[in-house]
Amino acid sequence: MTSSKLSSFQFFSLLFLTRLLTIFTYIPAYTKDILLSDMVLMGALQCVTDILLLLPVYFLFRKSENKSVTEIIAERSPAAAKAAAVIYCAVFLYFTLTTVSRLDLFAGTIVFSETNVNYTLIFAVLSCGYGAYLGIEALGRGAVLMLVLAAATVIFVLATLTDDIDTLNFTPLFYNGAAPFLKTLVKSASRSVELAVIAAAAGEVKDGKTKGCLIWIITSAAAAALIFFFEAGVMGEFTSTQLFPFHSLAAIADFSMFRRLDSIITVVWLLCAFFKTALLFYCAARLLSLHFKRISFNAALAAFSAVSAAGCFYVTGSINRFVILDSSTVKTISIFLCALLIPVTALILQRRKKYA
Amino acid sequence: MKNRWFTKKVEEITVEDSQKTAESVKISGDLQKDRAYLKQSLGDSFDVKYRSLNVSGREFLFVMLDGMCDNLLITEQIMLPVSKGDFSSFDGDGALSHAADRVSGSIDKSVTRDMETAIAEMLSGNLLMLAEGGGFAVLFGVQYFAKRTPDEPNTESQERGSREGFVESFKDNVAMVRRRVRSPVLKIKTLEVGATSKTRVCVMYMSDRADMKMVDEAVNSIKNAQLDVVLGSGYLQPFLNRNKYSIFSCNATTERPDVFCAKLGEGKIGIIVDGTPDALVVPHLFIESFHSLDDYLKRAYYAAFARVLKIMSFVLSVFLPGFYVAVCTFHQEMIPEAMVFSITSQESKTPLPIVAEALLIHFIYEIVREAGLRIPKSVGNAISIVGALVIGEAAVMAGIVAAPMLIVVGLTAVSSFVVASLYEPVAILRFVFIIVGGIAGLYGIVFGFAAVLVNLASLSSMGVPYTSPLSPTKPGAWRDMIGRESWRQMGRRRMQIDKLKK
Repeated sequence: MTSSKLSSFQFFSLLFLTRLLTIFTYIPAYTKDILLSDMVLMGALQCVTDILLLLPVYFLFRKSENKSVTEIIAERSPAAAKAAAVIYCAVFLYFTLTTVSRLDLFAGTIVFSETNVNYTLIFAVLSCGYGAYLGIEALGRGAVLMLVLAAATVIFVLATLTDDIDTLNFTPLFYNGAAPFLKTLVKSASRSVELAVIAAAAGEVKDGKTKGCLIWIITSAAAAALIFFFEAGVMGEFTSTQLFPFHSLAAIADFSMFRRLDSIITVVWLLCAFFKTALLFYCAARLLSLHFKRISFNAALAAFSAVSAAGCFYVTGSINRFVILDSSTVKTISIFLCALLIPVTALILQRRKKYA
Repeated sequence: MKNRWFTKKVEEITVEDSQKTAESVKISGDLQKDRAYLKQSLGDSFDVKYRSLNVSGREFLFVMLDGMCDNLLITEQIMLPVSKGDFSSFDGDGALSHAADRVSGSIDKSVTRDMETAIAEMLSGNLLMLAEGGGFAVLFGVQYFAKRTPDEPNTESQERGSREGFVESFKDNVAMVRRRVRSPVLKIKTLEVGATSKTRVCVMYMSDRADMKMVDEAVNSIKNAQLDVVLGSGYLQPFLNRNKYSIFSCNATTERPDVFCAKLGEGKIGIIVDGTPDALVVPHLFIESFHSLDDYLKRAYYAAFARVLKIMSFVLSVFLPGFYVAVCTFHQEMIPEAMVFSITSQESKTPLPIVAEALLIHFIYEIVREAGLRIPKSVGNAISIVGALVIGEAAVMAGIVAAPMLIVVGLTAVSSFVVASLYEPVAILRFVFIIVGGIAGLYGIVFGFAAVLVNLASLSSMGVPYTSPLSPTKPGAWRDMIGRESWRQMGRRRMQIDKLKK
């Protein structure tokens, strides 16, 4: 395992990749209440929800820069910190399962349907576990390299589609009213496991957290808006019939004699999934080893990987289980807990300690 | 009458010797006793030669190792002058000092009071001189042994640049470096490694740019290496490389003195091990595996082209077989139609599944390669014929292997030699990716690639990340990464490896 401190750029590169995966895996069926043009605005406005949800964590880290939320809680109540760590681990497990099951859905329905998903899952869990074992700094360094590849690929694919944008595909904003828009915006924010990761792991970032976080929020919102803009502009209403529209967009793209750019996007997608899952593995294992002294990092990682693998095997292969798992209510509660409730509790405990 | 240099030297060694363990045996000054001790330690080895000389009433004993010393030099510069000298007015120590400093013409000499040190030095090819009543020994550097003349290294051929390569002789190698860097900033620390072999290791660096913490770390790592016999620089690599669980090495090896000097010029630390032409350089960056001296001797644009070519060759050599297996097994839709028909028609005639076929043919290729390395050069052509005709053409004609697979093997083999320094990890990863591609298709390959990427990112040597300056990002060092600046720009600013430390 490399040293546990990483630079702000490395950490937020890692989070950018996880956010990119969230954008890639956006399923239009979940947002059928709003039209595609609203999705572009929603993508852009996600920076507002991110900032709002990160405010408690921001105030928390202003006083205790090098500690995670659970470590701050542990200063007042180790038992509460243990409970918080378990909640975070459960949320990370849940998001691991949704990430892997979406990958399975993607693999089983969209591309490479002949691939044996069980083997893929084994390789995914093994490689992500190995990535987590190497430490967050190694993941961060790898993410910086990957970020260049991912950004170049997405920009290239979008650039090839510039001529295919048809302004007729755009509809007036809030055509179905503002209420469904706001509801979808909240739903969309609930997919941001990165907010929980920041709360749990930002203590491991050396410096420049606030600046890095702001850049991450703005660039990831811009990326979301740009991708949704191209999906709406190029594919129009056809987007809503697609399971994973960005993949369909890449399949349409061509450059000179080069076609099938979706295969490059698939590679980027898988790599983003690797970094996201490995990061969640790492955060969970670290929290467990930090607050349960008898559990070593490696043991926690092995246990978490095994549980994730078992969960993935159970969920994949059944679309009903996937639909139940991918519920927005569960996600909203999870993010509410990890990004708001626990950090606010920690903030209160921090203030009480100050005035005690 | 004692010489001042000798007095100082003897005082120094007296302090050093007093710090040695109680078991160390001191030179007694009684020649009979010292001779007996030497005989007991060295046994009846035929190559140990003893010669007693009585000059003006003073008894001297000379001990040397036949075949390791220059007999002519001994005769002309030591024996002849000493035999003509006058030692009647000296005691034992004085006679030794006088003989060494005034009588003999030798420059390379040292003294010791410790018998074990004296034996070790004598076994390194020094002439040992003792005198009756003398409490120390004088060692003359008269080494001479059969050695190879410097020629161009086979493993690092260059289009331009020097044709000189390191040889097995430690002193010659140091001289080759000195000849290229004629500056007092070039510092050398000499160590001895190996409890039995007592191999000399030379740590070289430039004091005006090397990070002294790095130098100390390298020296301590070598000093703490618990080895009995050291026969090559490869023995020391694991001690300099803390990354136990990686197939990539954070140490560079080179047989070229010019490359070695260039690395020292970047603030790196060079390590020369006696008896081996491979020198080690630490720390080493992953991107440097794609650099060669030719890149700096040709125009910058061509250097960039050559480096891109090398990176692509590395990628091909690692991933091509696995990719081919994955695509043919699971993702046929990714191949253009005409190619699918061609590959299918060929592969359908072979009895083995593609993954087994790929493993088999790559395994055979590795056997042929290994055989080519070990067999005498005179029968090397025979191996080429067996490899090309029997395993290649005949296997295809017999329907055991498909022709596209042979193309893949050929391309992979050629690509893997473009970046020879990474051959070891490439050979292993290739097999891993064939298996992964055959089991989990492209998904497996992508996840495997990610694991390798993070593994590379996790490595560091002497505090310098292996993937630097790409990640951690150090834009200042990008001027010599994939492309390089021209010498006009590069000459202005010095590249220093310690700037890439975390």
